[in-house]
Order: sequence, then C-alpha cells, then structure tokens
Amino acid sequence: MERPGAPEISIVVPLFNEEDNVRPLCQAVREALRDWDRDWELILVDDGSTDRTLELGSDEAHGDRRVRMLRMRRNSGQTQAMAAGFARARGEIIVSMDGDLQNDPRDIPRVVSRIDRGFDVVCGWRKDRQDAWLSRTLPSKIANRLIAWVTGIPIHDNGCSLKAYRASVIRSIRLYSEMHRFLPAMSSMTGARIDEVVVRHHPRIHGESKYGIMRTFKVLNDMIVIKMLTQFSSRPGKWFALLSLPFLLLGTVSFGVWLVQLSLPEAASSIVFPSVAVMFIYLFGHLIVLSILAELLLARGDREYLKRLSRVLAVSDRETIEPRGSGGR
Amino acid sequence: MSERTEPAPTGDIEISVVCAPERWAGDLAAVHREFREQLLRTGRRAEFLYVLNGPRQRAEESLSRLKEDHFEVRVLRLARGFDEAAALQHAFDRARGRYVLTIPDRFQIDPAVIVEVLAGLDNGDEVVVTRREPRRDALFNRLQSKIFHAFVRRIYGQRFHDLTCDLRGLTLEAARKLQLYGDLHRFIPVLAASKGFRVAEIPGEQRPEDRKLRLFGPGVYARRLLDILHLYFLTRFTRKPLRFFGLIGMVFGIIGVAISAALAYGKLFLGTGLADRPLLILGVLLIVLGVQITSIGLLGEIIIFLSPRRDAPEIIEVRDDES
Repeated sequence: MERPGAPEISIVVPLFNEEDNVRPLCQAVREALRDWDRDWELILVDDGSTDRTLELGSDEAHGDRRVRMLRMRRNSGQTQAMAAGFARARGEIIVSMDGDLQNDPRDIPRVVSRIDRGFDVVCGWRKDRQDAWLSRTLPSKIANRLIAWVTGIPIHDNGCSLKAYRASVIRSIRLYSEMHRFLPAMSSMTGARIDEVVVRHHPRIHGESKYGIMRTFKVLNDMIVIKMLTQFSSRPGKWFALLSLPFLLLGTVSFGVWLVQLSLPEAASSIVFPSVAVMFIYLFGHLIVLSILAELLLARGDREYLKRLSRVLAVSDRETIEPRGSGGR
Repeated sequence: MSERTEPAPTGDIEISVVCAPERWAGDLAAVHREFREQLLRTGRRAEFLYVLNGPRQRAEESLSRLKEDHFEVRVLRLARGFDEAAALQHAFDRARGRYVLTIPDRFQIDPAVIVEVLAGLDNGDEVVVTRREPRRDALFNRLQSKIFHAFVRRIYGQRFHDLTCDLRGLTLEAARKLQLYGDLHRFIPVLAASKGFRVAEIPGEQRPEDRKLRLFGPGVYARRLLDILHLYFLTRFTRKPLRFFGLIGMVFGIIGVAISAALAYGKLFLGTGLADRPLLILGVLLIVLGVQITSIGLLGEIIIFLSPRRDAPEIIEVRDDES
C-alpha cells in the first residue's frame, strides 16, 4: 500500500463554490504545517463548483507538489466529495477539513497525534463555536446530544469537519448519501476506537454557509438509518422485530380493555378499543413480515462487505492502544 | 449494387450507429441510405447496428437486403421482445466506435444535423440530443409534446424540448454508463444530465414524413406519467430512500395522530361519543399507513447499504503526479 515517496498524512478538503477560500486555505495549511516534521499532502476535491474554485485550486496544485486537485464530474454532495478524496489519499492517516476556513489547520498536528496514540478516529470538538447561537449553535447542540444518545457514541460535535482517521478504517466504510456527519458512528461498526479533541473554530469570512432548512429532517432521517445499520447490520430482522414488540404489547392491552368492557353489565358497544387493537396488531404483523424480508435481503446482499468491516481492524497494528472503552470520553 | 461505388472510409470505426426498430417499423433501407450518405460525407468510418427486438418481419427482410450491399451493417437479434431501452443498451455494449449515434427507424429529423452532433461530441459534450425545430406537424402533436415537456421540466428543472426525437449522439463511455432499462431511453438526456454528463441540445429540420397526427391510447399517456414519476425517484432518492418514504409516511402519520388526538380530546373532555364516528377509522388507518410507508423506507436503506456501489461518482485528477 505504501509507496516510496507517499506522504504520511493526507488532508482532504471538499470544496463547493469556495473561490474566495481556496487560496487562503492552501496558504493557511502551508503556514500551519511548516514546522511539522511529517510529510503531508493536501487534497482539494472540487465538487462540481460553478465558480472559479477548480481553476484556482489547479493553480495551487501546479505551484506546489504537495497540493493535489481532484474534480468530481458533477456536484455529488459533500459526502461523495470526501469519499473521493479518501479513495485517492496516499497517507496512512487521513485528515478531513472544511473548505471554508472555519477549521484551523494549526490543529491538524494535535488531531493526528491522537491517532498516533492508537485511536482510529479522532473528532474535532468546536467547544466555543463562532456561529449565531440561536440559529446554528443551539440546534447543533441538541442534534449532537440526540445523535450521541441514539448511536451510543459520546461525541460532542459530530458536525465538525476536522477529523482524523486511520486510512484503513475509513476506506473500509462505504460512504453514501450524507453520511459524513455520522462517520464516527459508522466507523464504530468496525470496532474503531474513537477520541475527541478540542479544536479552534473561526467565524466564516468568505462565502456563504451551504446548509438548507430541510437539514433537521435529513439529519433525523440519517440518524434512524445509522441506528439501524450500526446496531443490527448483521441482523436487521431483529431490529424490525424489536420495533414490532411495542405494537404487540399495545395491541394486547387494548384488546384486553375491550374484553373487560364487554364483560361489564352496561356494555356500551364501543368500536374504539377493538379498532385500536386491530391497528396495533396489524402493525405488529406488518413489521414482523418486514423483519423476515430484511433477513432475506441480508442473505442475498453483499455480506462480504460486512465481513470486511469487521476484519479491517484485525489487520491494523493495535499494540500501542491504551486500555479504554470503545467510545471516546 | 450501385451503392458499393462510393467507398467507405477505412481505418478504425469511429461511429457506431444504433437503431432499434419498433415492431411496426417499415422499410429501413430508405432511412439507412440517408444516414449512411450523410455519414460518408463526414469522412468518418461508421458501423450500423440494428437491434431486432424480437421477431420483426419487415425490418428483417429489408435488413438482410441491406447487409448484402453494406458490409458495415450488423444485425443483433434479441430472442424475444425486451423493452426498447434494453435493446439499445445491448447495442451500446457491442458498439465499437468512439461515438454512438442513435437514429430513428423512420423519417423524423433531417440527417444533416449529424454534422453538428458530431461537432458537439468533438467539442467535449458527452451527450448531444436533437430537437425538431421549428415544429411543423399537427397542432395536436405539438400540444401534447408541450405538455409532456412542461411536466418534465417542472419536475427535473432541466430544459429539454424534444425527448422523443431519436437522433442522439453519445460518447461510448456515456452510452455504456447510462444503464438504460424499461422506458428510460426516452429520458436519455435527463438521465445523462443527472449522472453528471455534459448534455447539449441541437435543433434540426423536421422531416415532412413526420408531420402526421399522432394520437395514442390512454394507456400510453398513463405510462408516460408513471415514467416521469419513476425517473423522479430514480434521479433523486435512490441513495436515500428513507428521505422519500419517511416524508410521505410522516405526513400520513401526523394527520392520523392529529385526527385521533382530536377525537380522544372530544371523548375525554367534551363527552362526544366515538362509537358512531367513521373519522376514528380514518385516523387509525392513516397512522397505520404512515408506519407502513416509513418502514418500507427503512427496508430500502438496508438494500442501499448492502448492495455494492456501481454508480460511484467519477473523479478526475487535475494533475496526476503518480504518472
């Protein structure tokens, strides 16, 4: 895997219409890593920008051998852009970062040092965020609490793009949709050890933030999916079956209430409880059938991938790891 | 055998012309000759691939005669009638040229536009479609075409004016990566644009033979509508099914819960009896529907997660320093 001359660290930065930030970004990275004693490469991934991002990035790439410029054929979303960068990265350690200069490249050595200590995924934590409190910081706090609670991975800041990964771990995971926000949770499927480091955060100077209103719905959606995938990826049938149990319980209870009602002397022949009972039992049946279907999908699906996921860490050297739980702090 | 007098250009095949004649296609020879002449004039070597999608009596006869005269004609036969998209894809997979040119099986658009199509491909466009402009055919034809394309535009936000015009140029790479099936061949430019290929549209003269009135059965119109919806899902949500199903399920579920809650409130606090209110059944059914649709979305996510990636987006490195 390692070729002579390949850098140790690959820094991947997805860019979408960031023409104002390309040059300052490259400048800042060079500046920040000047005294670092490790080889690095900076991989800019242009995600089908419509402005001069590609042009300016290519200029940088031509002027500095450490900078590489990748171009997506079309706008495919941040996750795909990152995945493209990860796929082409040559370093053993991959650092991901935002292109909008809100992350500070000076934090890179610190994040990477945690990987050296034996962690597989290290997340940045923007402890004091430089965004509007009500519209950005608060929703993100709530979302992160929720994500931590649902996925069981106590990371304070899933949205921070400054993260470092062991290349073998991150490459084993197929990134799709908008999964980059859930990379720590996804990587926990491989048994990765996850850590967290407080990083600096700067207010946005150039360009506009690219998040829409539908975001809450999307994040909520992705969260449910991640929960399902991480916890029961090997047995999704079980997940659906588990989901169906409350319905069975509710159905039985309302059925029981109906029976009691019937036995009462002043039997008011109400349709309320029977219909509610029917609804719950119907849903129970539906989910049970789906659970069987899910098992079928798994049996016919790409099980090699699941095996690869669980194998990836078995081959990486893990001697240096300090005794710690599977999560961060 | 006068056609042999004009020598075909030699060298590697540059253009593969693909035609999938419809069941009621007439004599292909006239159309073939016209396109062949036009291509000869460009001086590029071309092969003609005719895909016979199941038995095609008349087409078969005219093709066997064509084959005697023109050795660059290849006939591919599919055992039974697959859909037209499958037939085209079959030909794309066997094309040897750098460019693929799909042509109509009847007179539709003036072949002279080929020159511009090829020029577009030379200039880096990956898919070049044509449109009949100005339209001179029956008013009704134009009207239904307008409505159809307005629909497509509304849903995809892309400006194509004549999806049914069969003369299209594609690079071999684009042709093979489109993965056509079902009725998707009609939406080649939309599909290509959504996959990130560079698509251009070129106007061409409409042929007089194409001007007669086209009136279809209601089934055809219904199918077009379904095609549009299908493609909408295909281009937007194939990688995130829960977003699609979850949204629909959530809407139903919320309405159902709201109805049930209102009824429960009436029963508990206002003493309104529930026994004879059909609204209860509606509320309950909507909740059921919401949960069902959402759970199907979850199943979709499992499918996506477990299936190997085939259509990963393409990456191009600006300066390749590994070489």
